[in-house]
Amino acid sequence: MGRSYLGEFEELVLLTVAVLEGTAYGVTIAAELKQRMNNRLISLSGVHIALYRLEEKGFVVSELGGATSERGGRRKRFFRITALGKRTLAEMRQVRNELWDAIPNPSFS
Amino acid sequence: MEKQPSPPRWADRFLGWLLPSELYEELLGDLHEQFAFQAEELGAQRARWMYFFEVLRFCRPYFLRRRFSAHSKYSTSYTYSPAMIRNYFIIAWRNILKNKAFSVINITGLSIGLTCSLLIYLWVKDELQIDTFHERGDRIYTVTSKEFIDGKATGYYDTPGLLGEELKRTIPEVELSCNWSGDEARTFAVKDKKLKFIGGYSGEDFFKIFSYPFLQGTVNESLKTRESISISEKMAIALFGSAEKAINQSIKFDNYKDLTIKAVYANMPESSSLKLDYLISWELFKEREPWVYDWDNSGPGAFVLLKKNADEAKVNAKLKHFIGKFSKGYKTENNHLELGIQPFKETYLNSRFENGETAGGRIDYVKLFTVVAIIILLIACINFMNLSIAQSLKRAKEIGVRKAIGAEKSSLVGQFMGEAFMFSVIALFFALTAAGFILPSFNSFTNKQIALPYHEPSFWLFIFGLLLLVGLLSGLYPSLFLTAFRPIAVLKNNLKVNQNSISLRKGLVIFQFTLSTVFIIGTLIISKQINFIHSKNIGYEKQNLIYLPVTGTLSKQFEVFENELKKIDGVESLSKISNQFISNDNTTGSVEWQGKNPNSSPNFNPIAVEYNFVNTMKATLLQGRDFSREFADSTSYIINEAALKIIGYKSPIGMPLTFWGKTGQIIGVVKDFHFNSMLMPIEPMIIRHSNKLSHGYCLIRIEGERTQEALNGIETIHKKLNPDFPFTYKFVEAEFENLYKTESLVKSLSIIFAILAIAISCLGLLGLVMFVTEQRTKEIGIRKVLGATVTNIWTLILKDFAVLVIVSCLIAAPIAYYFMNNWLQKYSYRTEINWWIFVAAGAGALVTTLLTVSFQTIKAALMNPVKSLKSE
Repeated sequence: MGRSYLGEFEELVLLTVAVLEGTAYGVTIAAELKQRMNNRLISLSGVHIALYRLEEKGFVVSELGGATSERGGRRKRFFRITALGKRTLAEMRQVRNELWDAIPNPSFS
Repeated sequence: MEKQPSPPRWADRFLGWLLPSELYEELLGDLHEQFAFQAEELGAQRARWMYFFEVLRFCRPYFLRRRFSAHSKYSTSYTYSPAMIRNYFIIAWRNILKNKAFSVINITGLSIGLTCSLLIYLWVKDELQIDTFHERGDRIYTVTSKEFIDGKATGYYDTPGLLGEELKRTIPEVELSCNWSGDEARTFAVKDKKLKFIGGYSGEDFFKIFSYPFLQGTVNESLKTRESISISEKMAIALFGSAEKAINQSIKFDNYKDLTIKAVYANMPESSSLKLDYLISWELFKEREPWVYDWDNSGPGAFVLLKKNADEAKVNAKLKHFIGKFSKGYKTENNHLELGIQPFKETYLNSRFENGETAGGRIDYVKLFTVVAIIILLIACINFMNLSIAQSLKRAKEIGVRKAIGAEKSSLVGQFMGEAFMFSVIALFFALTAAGFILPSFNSFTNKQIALPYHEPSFWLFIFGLLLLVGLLSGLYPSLFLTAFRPIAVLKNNLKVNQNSISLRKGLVIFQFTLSTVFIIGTLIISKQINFIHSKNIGYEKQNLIYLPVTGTLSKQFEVFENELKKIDGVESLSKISNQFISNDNTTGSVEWQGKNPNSSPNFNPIAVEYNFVNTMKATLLQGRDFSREFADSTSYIINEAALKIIGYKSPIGMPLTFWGKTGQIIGVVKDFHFNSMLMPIEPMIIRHSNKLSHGYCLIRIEGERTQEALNGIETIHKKLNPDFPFTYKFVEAEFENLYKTESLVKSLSIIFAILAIAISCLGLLGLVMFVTEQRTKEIGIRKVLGATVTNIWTLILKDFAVLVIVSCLIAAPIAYYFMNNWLQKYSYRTEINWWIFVAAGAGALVTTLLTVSFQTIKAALMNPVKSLKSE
């Protein structure tokens, strides 16, 4: 069985989860992405679907945090990247690097 | 104190409904957190908007799917999960294979029903769109006449010949108007080419009123002068090679006059009730038919185009006594002609008149066949219902198990409805294929050019609707019935057959057979009426009688022609007649006689003939004699019985009669003969002699055994005397058949549909019998062991079914009588509805049932009881 497919947005979300180590949940991920991507429109629902898909594929795991007084006492679901997720990101990075290196004249921009 | 802004509550409620319950808390939490953040940064109002859009973005299939799958952590199979759907298909497929006979019966029945409906739908759709393509179609009207004779009204489309020019001049609401001569085949010659085409005369507004696209020429010039003619592309190609070559060319019409082609129009489409190859200016019609100047004569039709927003009722009121201004004969309240208008697009389907008012026409058949299609479909659906319910016992265990492991009723209903749809889809596939194969012969049969309109969305909409209807009709009851089983009873094997379901089954069978029997009775009566028309003594011998148009030089040399023909073997006698045979509908009121009531002017059908008319027709002379060379007959008249009745002379021979101002005497009375369709009564007729007829038809009586010889001889002479015209002739008998084309079509169609209806019903019955014999295998075995004979068992099972069919016949008889009696009323001459028709139909239905049931029953009765009792 081949590796699960990782879409562009899913990859970004996965990276963000890795960046926000330990404090990654819907709102923080969306805010982080928005900030890093020049205020590109990031919808919460999109982020969540990406997260749930990543979880189904085994790239992240999640657990519910404790109840706090914020946001009406509703619990947050925190996401953590798994070893599989890290390995997949590394592999993708390597593939990209190799491709970049293979460009004959890299200073084209 | 400042209040914390909060997101709209309804949006949260919506999310509660939308989102999977296990995700609701965390997602809502995230949303609220983001909202609080945005409210602080951008203000409450904008944050609310953004919240709203964010909520909208949650409407994704992903969440819905998760929601459906979220019922339980342990269950992965929900109603619409792929696994369950796959399972439904597998079970349905296995059931089809397991009960091959039932599946074949179901699918065959449904396919036949669907094929019928499809074909009828296509036919009806085609009928309904005829004449609807004209751009200004909503404003085009046909002029109708309502003639009062002694207070009795008759309706038709014949109008005075100057109406077209007068209407637009005098009635402000009328924008355009023209007369229309009716279509006739005429000869056209270009150099050596001589061909016949069908067309007629009309006023210059014709192409302004109707939208027939032009290839050459202009609408304004098309029919302007006496010498103008417009022809179709087909005619242009036939005579000149192309439309471009035809324009402004000269063409010889009827060897009478050279006309100039002023326009070439595209061939009139199939969807046009008028299919004309040429149109000649009305001016020429007036020249050739001077009688149109008299407003008392009616003949041509007329069309008008009303102005925008004109009130139809107002125009009708103005037209009512329009003729009064012009007509001398327009006298009293009881005897006059009223005009009216009828929307042109309705004319094709509603051209029958009753008491002077339009009363249906082809639309009756359109409605009839729509009902027939629905009924046949219904019968097929009932088969499906009946067989499904009958088989329900076999599937009771499956339902029990499904329910026991947690299937909800709704999912079971879904499953069985799905099976019904599966059957309808398969049947529809067969039906579409079958319709494709049948269409060519269906087209030649109905004289249409229908193709399966795969490219039209409306067709697919219809197919989809049909599928939905059939699926629902056939699937709904069985699925509700099946899913009502109580699992405990089913699995313990003590399921009792519901008495209600058996009576429902019987009721449905009775319903099916009632409808089928009504069809059979209807078909018998229609066939009887049509045979009656064909075999009725029409007053003359229509066999071996031919007629050919007297054209060109033939009219001047008629005597020569006559003498030459008489020398041919096989020609018995000949005469000449002024009018188009059979569809002769000219009338005149200009008849005077002794003792005529001055206030009434009844209409007579005038015809002019040559010598030997009565002899050639082989009509029966009641009194007097035929026109003959031995007498001076220029002012002699022969009348028919109907005319004698009106005139009222006691001994008519030798009595005076004034016709079109010429006083003469009656020399003979002929027995009434049918000139027209039997839909119409025989009209009073005055036959006068004239040897100066420039047009008309030559009637030739030939000997039956030497038809070919006679025809060859006539052709040779015709070629010699009248070389400019092609030799064309018609058999009167064949023309008579043509008159009843619609009736014949309806007869054939009703025979087909009656057979199909009874076939589908019998298929269903066959299925039921198979089921019953299977159910009672053990019973039959025990009975046989105890000494029952095959006959005993045969009657045992047959009894149940025979009773149903007999009950159906009893119900069907009065229903059929009511409808068929209504149908017959429109014929002036009609057959009786005899008791034997009902007996025959009942016996037919019963015998078919017996045959269907017996085969299966006897097979069951012949089974070795050892085998049937050993099973299990």
